[in-house]
Amino acid sequence: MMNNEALNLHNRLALFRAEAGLSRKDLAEMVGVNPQTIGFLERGQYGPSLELGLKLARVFGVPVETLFSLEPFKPLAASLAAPRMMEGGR
Amino acid sequence: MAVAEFPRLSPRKGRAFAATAAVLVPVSQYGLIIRPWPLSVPAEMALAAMMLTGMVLAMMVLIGTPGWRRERRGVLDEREAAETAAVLSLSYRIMGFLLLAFALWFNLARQENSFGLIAPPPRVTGLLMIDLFWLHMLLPSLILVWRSRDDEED
Repeated sequence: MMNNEALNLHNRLALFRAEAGLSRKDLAEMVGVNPQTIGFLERGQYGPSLELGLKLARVFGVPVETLFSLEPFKPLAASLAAPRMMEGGR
Repeated sequence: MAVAEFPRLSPRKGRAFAATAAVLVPVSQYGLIIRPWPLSVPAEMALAAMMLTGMVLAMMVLIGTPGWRRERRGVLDEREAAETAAVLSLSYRIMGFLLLAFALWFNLARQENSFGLIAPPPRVTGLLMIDLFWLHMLLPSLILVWRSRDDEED
């Protein structure tokens, strides 16, 4: 087991990377890590340092808490449906 | 001054080299140094070639993976640096237990004991010490190559 295994850290890195059309290698080069590390991050097997988390967030132009969370992220369908439900409820 | 860098081994190659060395070195040591049977010259040469090949492969694993290899700052990313540190610490503990077990066995076997332990001949003891040193050097690399994943697809 690794020292820094991210037991309680959830992320949407794979989703954002796919959305941006980046390969693991591309993203790894952009943030200065080994492509394997991106795989470890996406599977939640490694918790990044604050610096790496911020670098990743900067690549996608989002706040770091959009990428990483201590709570599990809601399914994408639920996140997309929520604003519409609020509009319908008004 | 530019420093020549030995290329890093892929996990698959590292595993193959380590497994081959783990077979070649003990088999050739057994045949060549312990010599349970008389050897002809060609057999001696074959065993020597096996030992040499095994040692070269072991050295390649040792040099080609982070392990004890001293990497320049920034060569390893933060995950690799953390993993290497964890593996070095694990190896340190494993080697500590092995040394303790070896010392207990050797000291018990030298005197009469109820465990049925037999003291190894000096030649075997020397060989075991050398092998223990090889294991000490190689263990971090071995753990790293076996833990690493092969290059992942996107």
